[in-house]
Amino acid sequence: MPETDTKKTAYNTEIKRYFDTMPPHIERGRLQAEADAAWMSLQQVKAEVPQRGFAWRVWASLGALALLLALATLFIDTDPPDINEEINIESSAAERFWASLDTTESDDIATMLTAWEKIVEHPVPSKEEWIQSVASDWQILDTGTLFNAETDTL
Amino acid sequence: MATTRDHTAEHDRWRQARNNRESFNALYSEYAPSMHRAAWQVTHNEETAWDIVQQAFLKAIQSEAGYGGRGSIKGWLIRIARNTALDQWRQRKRRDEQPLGDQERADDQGPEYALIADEGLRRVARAMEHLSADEREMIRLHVQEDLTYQEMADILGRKTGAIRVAIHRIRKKLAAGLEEEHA
Repeated sequence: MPETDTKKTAYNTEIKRYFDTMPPHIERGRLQAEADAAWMSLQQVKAEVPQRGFAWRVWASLGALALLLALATLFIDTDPPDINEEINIESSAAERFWASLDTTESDDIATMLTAWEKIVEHPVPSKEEWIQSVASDWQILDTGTLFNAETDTL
Repeated sequence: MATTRDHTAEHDRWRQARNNRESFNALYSEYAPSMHRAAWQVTHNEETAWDIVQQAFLKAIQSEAGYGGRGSIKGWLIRIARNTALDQWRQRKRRDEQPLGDQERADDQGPEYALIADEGLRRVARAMEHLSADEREMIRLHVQEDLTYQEMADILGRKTGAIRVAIHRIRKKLAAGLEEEHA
């Protein structure tokens, strides 16, 4: 081995010996204790991961169920037709309704209902409900009169 | 000093250690001292360095893709420990707290060779006084941890060529110091 290499090896050995002497000094017992603690921590983390996975799956399922219910409510309408909604949708129907009543010059409920049913092209499900709805809607009840229950007229 | 190594066996051991206590213990005992030394170089505090080793080791063993068998496990773990220590040091500094190990560092300013009984080691210690902290860490990683230039470059975030040149200069400085001592 050339002299420079021999020197280099000798220096390396000395430098390594120096660093091995310097702190930190690790005791075997401490190292084992740290290894045990690290293993326990790892087991804890591993046990938490499936739980987190389970919780995530439960929340995802609940979310999906809620979404399905929301969609079902949109598409499966079990309620009877909402007259208010019908009036809003058929905004021009109200005008035609009043126009048809103008020609008959009648204000009795039966005539009005018949006129309305002709306009919307289906029977009104409940007279009372329709009256209530009409009474609360000034777009239709623009005569300023009140419904008279005794005479069944507006 | 080897420049390339076969890491396949190391990779297998690492995978086994996740589920096998014996393998885990073996790996921990083998690599934790190097990780501790790397953390200690930043913190100069024994207990903080152990906390960092725990964090870094768990971080590493849980990382599925982290160790891809590219370098040695040792180099990879030292890098994680050193980076974890540096992160903590920066966080503390940002919060205007006393950075890790500053007190210990302040106490560590005196010539350490005064405490060394062995004359040979005292000479090395005196030669070390000519090196900066970075240079000391570089030669320590190279000689004590037996890391390759590539592994050191990965740990220190420098190019392999730069590490090679730096080590050459450090050796020359140390040799000059040691020969001065001889003379």
